[in-house]
Parts: sequence; structure tokens; C-alpha cells
Amino acid sequence: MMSRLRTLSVAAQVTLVILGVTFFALACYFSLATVIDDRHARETLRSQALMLARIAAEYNVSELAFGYGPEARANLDKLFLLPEIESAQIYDSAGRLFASRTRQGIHPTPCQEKISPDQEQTVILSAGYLEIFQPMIFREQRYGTLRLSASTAAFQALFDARLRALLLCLVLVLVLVIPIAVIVQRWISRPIHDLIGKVQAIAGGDLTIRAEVGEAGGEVASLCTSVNLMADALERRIREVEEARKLLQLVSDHIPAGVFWKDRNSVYVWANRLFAEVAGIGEPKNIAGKTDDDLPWKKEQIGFYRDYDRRVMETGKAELSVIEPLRRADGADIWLDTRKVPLHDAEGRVIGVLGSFIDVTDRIRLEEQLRHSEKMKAIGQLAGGVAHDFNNQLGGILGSAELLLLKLSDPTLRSYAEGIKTACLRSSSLIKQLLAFARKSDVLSAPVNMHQLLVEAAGLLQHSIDRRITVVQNLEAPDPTVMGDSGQLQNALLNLAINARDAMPDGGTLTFATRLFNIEKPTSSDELAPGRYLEILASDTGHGMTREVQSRLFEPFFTTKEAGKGTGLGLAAVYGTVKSHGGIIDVQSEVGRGTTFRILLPLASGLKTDTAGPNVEIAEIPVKAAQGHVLLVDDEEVVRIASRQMLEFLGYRVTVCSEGQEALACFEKSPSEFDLVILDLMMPRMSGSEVFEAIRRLRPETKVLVVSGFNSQSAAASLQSKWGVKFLGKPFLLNELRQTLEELLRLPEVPDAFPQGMPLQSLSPT
Amino acid sequence: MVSGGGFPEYQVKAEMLFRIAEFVDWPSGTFSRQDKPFVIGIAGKDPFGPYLTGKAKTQKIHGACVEIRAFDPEAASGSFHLVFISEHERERVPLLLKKIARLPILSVSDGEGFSHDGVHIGFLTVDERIRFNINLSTATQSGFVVPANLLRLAARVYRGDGT
Repeated sequence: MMSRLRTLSVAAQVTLVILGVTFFALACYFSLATVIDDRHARETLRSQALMLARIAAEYNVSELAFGYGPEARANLDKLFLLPEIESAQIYDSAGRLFASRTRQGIHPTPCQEKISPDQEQTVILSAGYLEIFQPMIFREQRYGTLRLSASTAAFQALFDARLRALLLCLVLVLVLVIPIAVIVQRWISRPIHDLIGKVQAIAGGDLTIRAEVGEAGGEVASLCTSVNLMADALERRIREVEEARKLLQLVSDHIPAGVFWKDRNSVYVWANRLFAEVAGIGEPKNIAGKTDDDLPWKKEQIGFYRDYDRRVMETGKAELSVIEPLRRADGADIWLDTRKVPLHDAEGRVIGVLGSFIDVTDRIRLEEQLRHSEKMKAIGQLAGGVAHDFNNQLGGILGSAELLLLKLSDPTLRSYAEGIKTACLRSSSLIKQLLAFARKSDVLSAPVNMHQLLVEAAGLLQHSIDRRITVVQNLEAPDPTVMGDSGQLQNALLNLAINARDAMPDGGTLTFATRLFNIEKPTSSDELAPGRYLEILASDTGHGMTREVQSRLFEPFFTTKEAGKGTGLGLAAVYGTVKSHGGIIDVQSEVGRGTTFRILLPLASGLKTDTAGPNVEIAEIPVKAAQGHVLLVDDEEVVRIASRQMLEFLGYRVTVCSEGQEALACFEKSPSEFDLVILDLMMPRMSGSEVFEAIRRLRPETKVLVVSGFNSQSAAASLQSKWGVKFLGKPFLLNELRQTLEELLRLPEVPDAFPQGMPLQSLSPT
Repeated sequence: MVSGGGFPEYQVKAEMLFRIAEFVDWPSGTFSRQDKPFVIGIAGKDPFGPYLTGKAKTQKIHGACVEIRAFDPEAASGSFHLVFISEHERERVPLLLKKIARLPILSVSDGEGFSHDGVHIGFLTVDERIRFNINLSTATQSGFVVPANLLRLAARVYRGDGT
């Protein structure tokens, strides 16, 4: 009841209170007045009636005594002058009815015909009725009894009239309360209503509104003042919050990171400008209400982000530096370094996740390149080491096979030896490629016209590959000259061509193209210094490669070809060659569309190109035996044996040493006795270059043939031209050995050609 | 009580006689001695018969026993308290009155006009009801005090001025 009352308006409450109080007051007054008046009226009636009875009794005693009935009745009639009296009777001394009168208009109730003659004075007052018996005595003698009956109906009627008045008063109060309520509303509740309207307007966001404070004061004025103070504080607070929000937006829009937060259901709530750019949603505010499904991410990435959100929100722990891929709205795939932090409310419950990311695509690519080059380097070292030892062994096998061929006349046995020789040469060719990849074969640095090489390679290919393959040349570079080893470069071009041929088993087009490529500024993703480069493109229209294949393309022994068809060394050798020429190679391929290899080589402008190929046709083995004393130094026994036999076969006198110290000791005894020293570069304890220096010191004019498992055409050329030292890569054929030795021995002795302190470092494995 | 229509006239008058005697106040000292009876004298022929005598035996007046005697004007009239003068004694009335004048003897007559002539109270019949006149003047002269409620019942009250 009371809570209901409270929900009413002030005006209604005041109306009800006025009504209630008035009713209560009136009811109290009327009840009290009625009780008092009732008592008073009864008492008055009682005493009046009793007095009247006494007087009437005394008065009528003579009429009774003398039997004057009519007179007595006339006397009784006079009693009705008192309005309460309704009937009167006189009984004689024997108790018999002597005279009886009833007020006119009252229905006569049958009165008692006889009463007790000794009836004492009695007053009986019941609810609405008063009855009095009064003895009639004269001179102490009793003559009879007077009976009077009176009704309280008269004052009952008075009380009824009172009740009616009360009700009338209530109605009047009701009627009066309405205007009073209106006045009360005007005086009390209207200012409150006005204030409520203003507070609602303030709550609605209009912070300029203020309540008018009445001059009179009072609670409403105090309330208005409080509301104004509250509005001031609210406005100040909102301004502060707004400024803080603007500052946050400004800061967040200008930090080089994407920032966002999501609610518990991974729905975006807020994001900064960088995030909006990445997501392609225009203004940052557009993010509100979106989910990852609404953004241009890839499907599998969305799942990853969701799991990430859930993990952070479930554990309540931040996760930092999670590297994840992302497809930008513009279609670019980038890498992000992301951190997600759970957001808590005041009770410590997780309500969402705050995320931020930076674009680490460049770093990831650099790392990938670094990893790749480190891997290549490691593989290169491994391959180089293996190749060196392998070449040594091949040298032994090849030499022995050739000597065997010279000794054998049985065609069957000769064919066996031929088989060994062929296998050795094939193996050697493989090792050469491996060494090219490992860059153990040093680059012969001469100007090379790449266009000429391309034309030659194309010419070679026209005759050797499937006729359904068309070779096209778009050689547009104005200056095709690079510094390098033309043989290695040609090999590289041929390897690319072979790769292209194998990619087009049903025919197609192989295009060689060149053009000038300028790198103006150093870029993080490029390993190349700024400068002018020759860009060589080799494109095929073959079956293309998957991304996985592309990533492993240049690894040695990685091949997609059937067993026996490919060695897995071709492209590895290309890679090594390009690297050793200071260039880069990359590949673009699409499955079903084709592959394009791109090579960038630094241009060597204004240099004359060396058109002469390094390959010299090797003459037939001569019949004539050679002369001279050769000091052979090699740590590999199989090589020593084979080489010695080959040298002796050629007619040389041979002294064999297995290591540097022994060779020097041998040479020191009689330096002039040796016409030639054949020196292996890679030896334990004392290296070939140290031995070479010692020999030169002892006898500078000594002719030296350097042999090495690290096959290097360039090294050979430069050694010969500058220092009068010949180079022969292992394994070598008997004929090659003979020819080289003859050339060397033909050279004039140049004692001071080799300056002190210039070791053969260029030949040392790096 | 005494005016009932069904009762013989003199029974009613006897009753009234008793009531009147009771109502009227005798001069003070009249009933000072308790052993002295209230004496009613009958002048002339007694019309009441034994009814009055019987009544006198059972009722008292002013606390005294009642005695009925024949009224003898020659005898000591001072011993009577009330004298009833019968209708036939019309001629003797003035003499009787003379005898009892100034004495505290209440005179009651049975005939119209007696009271006009000086009898204190005279019975008469009006509308077949027995009523009485009072000569207040003579009664007062005789020392009687007639109460108002008795006067109120009188058919006529003579007050000495002829009313």
C-alpha cells in the first residue's frame, strides 16, 4: 500500500493526504460529539422524564383518588408537550389500568392492563426506549402508579442528521480538495516537474541546460542548485573524457601499430586508423559491431584469430609476440607481430581483448633470406668438402683407368677400362657443378658479353632440344657486358634452358630476354648495392612449380625429376655461379602457367669482352716421350700412385712426397734438379701455398703446376698469366696433364715474377 | 375509583367523603392525640347504610380511626370532625351551620345549593357523575386549608365574593 502510494505523483499524494486527514478529523469530531451528545441527551431525557413523571404523579393523584378518568386523561395528554414522551398510563392502587394515553401519530402498543400494586419507582432505559414507573402518593398514602414511556428516536434522528452532515462535509471536502490539489501542484510539483524535464534534457546530452533557482529558496531551490552543480560536474567530466578520448585516438592513429579491441564475443569495439587501413573499412569508427568474418581476412586466418582471442580471454593472460599472417584489404599478404591482452572490468572479469600489431613483413622476409643464404652456405661448405675429396679419389681412379687403357690390348678388357674412365668423367662433371654451387671454383674475372653467350646457348639449344620448343630472344639491354667467368655463365644459361626444356615435355616457348636494371637506393629486401645491373630473364611456358618446390629450388640434390634423369645440381650450380658473380637469382612461377628465372648481374661498362672461350681443344696423346724431373707432392695416396704412373708413362722422372715438409726437404737438397713441381693445394700440416712460397724462395724460377680438387678455371687462367703457375683441376685426363706440363715447360723462366708475400690465397678455400 | 357508574350512589359518596376528609387539612393540632378517633357525624337520616360503617372500621383518616355517629347539634359538637348533612335536612342547614360555625368541623352536604349557602362542600350530580362544589370562603373561615388539587376537582368553588 505505502509503496503504491509512493509511486503516485506529489499532487495525488497531497490530495490523498488532505482527504485522509480531513476525513479523520471529521470522523473524530462527529464520533466524539455523538458519544457526548448521546450521553447528554439520554441523561437529560432521563431526568426530564423522571421529573415529569413525579410532577404528573403528584398532579394526577387527586384525579385518581376521586376517579376523575377524563380529567386524568386530559392531564396525561399534556405530557406529550415533551416530544420524547410517547405514552402515559395511570394504574390504581390495585394495579389496574385507570387511564392511558398514547401520543397521536404513534402506533399504540398494547399497554399492560395490570401491574404490581407495589411497583416501585423504576427507570428502564433501553436502546431506543425509556420507561418510568412512578408511585402516586398523597399524604403518604399510595393511590396508584404512573407509567411513562419515552422514545430516544428524537435524538436518534439528530444523530442521523449529524451523520448526513458528516457525509455532506466529506463531499464538500472532496470538491474542495481538487482545487487545493491544483494549487498544491502549482506550488510544489510544477517546479519539480520543470526540474525533471531539465534533468531529462541533461541526461539526453544537452549539457548547456541549467535549472532556474528560485529566489525564495527552500528544498526545490536547493535541489535546483544541486542539479546545476551536478550538470557542471558532468559537463566538465564529459569534456575531460572527450579530450582524453581524442588524445587516445590521436595517439593511436599515429603510432606505427594497428590497435583494436574486441568484446567477450570477439566483436570489434574500437580500432585505430592503421587497423582501419589494413582492414579497408575507411574510418576507424566503422569497426564497431563488426567481426573478423566481416573483414577481408582469409578463412583459415579468421579461425586462428578466434582461437587466439579465446585463449587470451579464457586464461586471462596476455600473449605477446605472436607472429601471424594476414591478408590486407588491398590483397597483400603481410606478417604481423601481434600481442593480445585481456581486458578486465572492475570485478576482475574478462570483458574482452585488447590487441595490437606491427607489420614485420620486411623482417620476416629478411630473416627468410638470411636463413636461406645461411642454409645455402652450409650446404655449399658441405658440398665443397665432399667434392674436394671426391675429386681426389676420381683423380686416382681416372689416372689408373687411363694407364690401364694404355697397357691393355684385349678389346674386352679395354672396354671395361673405358667404362671406368667414362664413369669417372661423368662423376667429375657432377662434382664440377657441385663446386660451382658451392662457389669453390673461383670466378675467372674477365669481361663477358652476355648477349654473345645467350646467342651461343640458343644456337646450341636449337640443335639439341625438342623441336616443339621455340627459343625466342629479346635481347634489349644496350650494354650486355659483365665481369665474370664466361664458361660458368654459359653453363648457368644452359642449365636454365635444360630446366625449361624439362618443364615443357609437350613443347612451348623458351624466351631469353635482357634489359638494363637500375637499383638507385639500397633496399632492405635486396642484397644488391645500388648501381646498374643486367637483368636476364629465362621464361618458359611449362607446368610451373608449387611454392614448396620454389622454396627448395636451389638446394643441391633437390630434384623433381625421375630418378636418373636429374642430378639436382643444375640449378644449385646456377645459384652458385650467380652468387659468385655478385648477382642474384630469383624465380616466379605459377602452376600450369610457366616459370620465369630472373638473374641480375652487375654491369661492367666500358670493358672489352673476352670473347675467347677458356675451353681449349685438347690434342691427342703424343707418341713422343717427355723428359724432365718432376717433384710430385700430394697427400692422397691414390692420387700420388695414379699421377706418378701417368707421369712416368709420359716419360718423366718422378720424385713423390706425401706432405709439404718432406717435399721441401727433398727440394732443398738439390733445387735445380727438379724441372717442375706438381703441388696439391689442400694438404694437412703444411698447405700447398706455404710449400709454394718456400720453393719460390729457394729457387724462384722453379715451374709449378698446382692441382686441386677445387676445380677453378679462373684460378688456372690468372695463375698462368700472372705468376707463371699452371693450374689443373682434379681429376685430370692423361692428355690434359701432358699438355699442361708441356705448356709449362715451354714457358721461359721468370725468376722475379712472383713478389714476396703474395701467397696463393686466391686459390685457398674460403 | 369512586366515580364508577356501576356503583350505588352512596357507596361512591362514602368513598368520596373519605377522600375529601383525607385531602382537606384540619387546623393544626386537631389530630394531636392518636387515641382520639376521627368522628363523622350524620345529620339527618343516614343514607349510607352499613357501607360507611364498614368502611370506617377498615380505614383511617389522618392516621386516626373513624367513628360514625349521628350528629346531634345539642350535644358537644366539638367532638366531631366532619358532619354529613343529608338532603332532607335542608331546613335545618342554617341552624346547623350556626352551631358549628368557627368550629373545625368540615360540613359536607348531599344536595345542590347547600354549599352556596355556607356548607363547605356539597355533592351534586353532573352528567351522571357525582361531583362537588366547595365553599372556600366558609371553609377558610372555619380554619380549613383546602388543597389546590381538591379545588381543581370541584365543579364550583365559592370564594366569598359570590364566585
